[in-house]
Amino acid sequence: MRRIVAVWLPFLRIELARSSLLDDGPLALVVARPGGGVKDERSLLGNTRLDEVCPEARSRGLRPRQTIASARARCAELRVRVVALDAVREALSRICEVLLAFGATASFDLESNVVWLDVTGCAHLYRSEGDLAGEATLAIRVQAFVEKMNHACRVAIADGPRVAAAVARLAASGAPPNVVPTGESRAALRGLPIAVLPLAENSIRWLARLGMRSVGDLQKLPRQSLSTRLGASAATVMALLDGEDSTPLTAYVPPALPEETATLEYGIELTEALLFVVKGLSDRMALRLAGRAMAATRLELVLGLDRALTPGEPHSVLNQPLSAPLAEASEMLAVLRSRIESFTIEAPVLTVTLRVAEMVARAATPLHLFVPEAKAERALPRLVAELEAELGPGRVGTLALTNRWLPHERSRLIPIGSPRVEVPHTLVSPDSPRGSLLSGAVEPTRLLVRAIPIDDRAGLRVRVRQASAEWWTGEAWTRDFAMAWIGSIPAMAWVEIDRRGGQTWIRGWMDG
Amino acid sequence: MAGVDLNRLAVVRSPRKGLLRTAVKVRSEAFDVVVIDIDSPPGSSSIAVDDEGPSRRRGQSRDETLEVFVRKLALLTAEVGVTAILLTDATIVRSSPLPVALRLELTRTERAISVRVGKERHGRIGLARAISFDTKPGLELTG
Repeated sequence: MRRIVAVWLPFLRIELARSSLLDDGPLALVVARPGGGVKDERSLLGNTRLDEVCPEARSRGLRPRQTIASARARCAELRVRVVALDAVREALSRICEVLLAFGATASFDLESNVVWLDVTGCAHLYRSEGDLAGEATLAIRVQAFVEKMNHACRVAIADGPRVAAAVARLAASGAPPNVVPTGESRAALRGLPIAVLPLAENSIRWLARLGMRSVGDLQKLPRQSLSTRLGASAATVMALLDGEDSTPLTAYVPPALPEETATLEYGIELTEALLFVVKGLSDRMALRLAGRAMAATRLELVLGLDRALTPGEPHSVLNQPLSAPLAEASEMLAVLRSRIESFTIEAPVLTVTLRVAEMVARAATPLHLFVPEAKAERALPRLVAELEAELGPGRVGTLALTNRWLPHERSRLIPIGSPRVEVPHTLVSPDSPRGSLLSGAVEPTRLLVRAIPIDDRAGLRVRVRQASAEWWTGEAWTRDFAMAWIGSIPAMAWVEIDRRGGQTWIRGWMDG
Repeated sequence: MAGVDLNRLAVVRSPRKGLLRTAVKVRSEAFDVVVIDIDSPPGSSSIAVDDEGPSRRRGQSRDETLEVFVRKLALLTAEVGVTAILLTDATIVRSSPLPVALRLELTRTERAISVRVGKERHGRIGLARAISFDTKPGLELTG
């Protein structure tokens, strides 16, 4: 038997419209449909009809299908916003993607704002002593996930999508999720109004005139005579009356690379404001990644700039490879914060898009029952990614020994976690029975990352001089190294003299 | 390797300009010990640490900025139980010594390192000891 979770989002469009407002006053909205006359707030007219009103506006007597003029006459402070149907689709897609963490197939209906999830065979993962089937716990977790995305919702589980959606829609506000036991769909539908059935509007009116108000009233009627009155949807309705709901789900297929976009009404020019927007995008992206059980290894932040004030490209792309896979919102935000703080905003930013350009499967780490998790293992990936974002690639890592005698080349920086190349013992310098890379000469105590060229060789006061040839590397020339007093600093330096070109560099410094 | 496991030693090459900010970031719970090389080698672009924090903008000297940084670092590391070691150049003249709990003065000779306690919480100042090298100092392959 199938088990379907239905999540009804009663105020989804109102929530989308309110997301760009700062106050909580009465609000109504008009949906901008493709090909329709309404595109944005400027295209609204007095005779445009409202599609939805918020609970506060409803309490003041405003209703959908009312014109804006009549609604404003009743409530002068009413604000009317336009919500694009694409924005609703995007929000429902995001919820579908997030809910894929709980089941195999997700689907949504754009008109009724319902998301379905097939959780057949999944509920036992949430089983406990208080909930032997696990379905109640699963439904509570689904509800918590959706509410975490700042959407009010009502959740129900039943044998089919229509029954689950009907039960969810007619549940009391604030009530816990409703779980219809397996095979009990007929009983669950009995008390619901006939409007939950897929009937034409005139059929519902006709049945109401006959006194048929609930599904239970229809269930009592003789089937043969009823079917002739139900029109084209008779077969579906008759099956529903018997509690059979085999409606297939149209599977939602998430895009290959998840991305989140925020469109801003006014351009932002301050780093703090941009970080505020990026935080919201990171939160939503983390939920998407959790739904896929993936972690990001490269992030892209695309900033759409105001064309009127941009001399060059109308967008900036911040590409951030990550040294370790990240999936938590706080981790991604920390990395992006470092990058944004070192970035100069050239023109007002109107759109911000966060994209996961590369990702890998999230590795599950089993926890020990008695030994606490090492803090370093949890904190290091985030810290390394954050430092690399701030300092650039190749500046954070561990040292790996190399098969070189030269002090400044005996080790090199490699990324943390990358495999190390072991130095074969047979290739090391043969001047030590233990296979040491050391010479007998005095060596510098501080090495410079970048050598400093010396122009005036005549002024050098060289104390000790030694020649070096790394015969095992195949180098054909010999380098000279010397301790030299640099009078302009003044300090004792470790200098390299190239015999071929005659160039001299300071490679490091000596003690004392 | 002188007893140091290179797998457990993370190296961060920060530009001198942002060293203080990086140091504060690194003092996370990921590490037990953080070693910060504060003074630039001679001949580098900036001899002292150049911080661009708010205190620096108020017109403080670099020594004062560094002192504030050390105090902040001490508070932050105490919160997470991290030991911070500052490497400084003894030849650089400062207007006041850095506010640290323990100051060790190291002098290197050809065959030994001399360690002298310059400051200690309980007043045991002046203790000195020379540590001779059993082997030649530097990197060594073993195994």
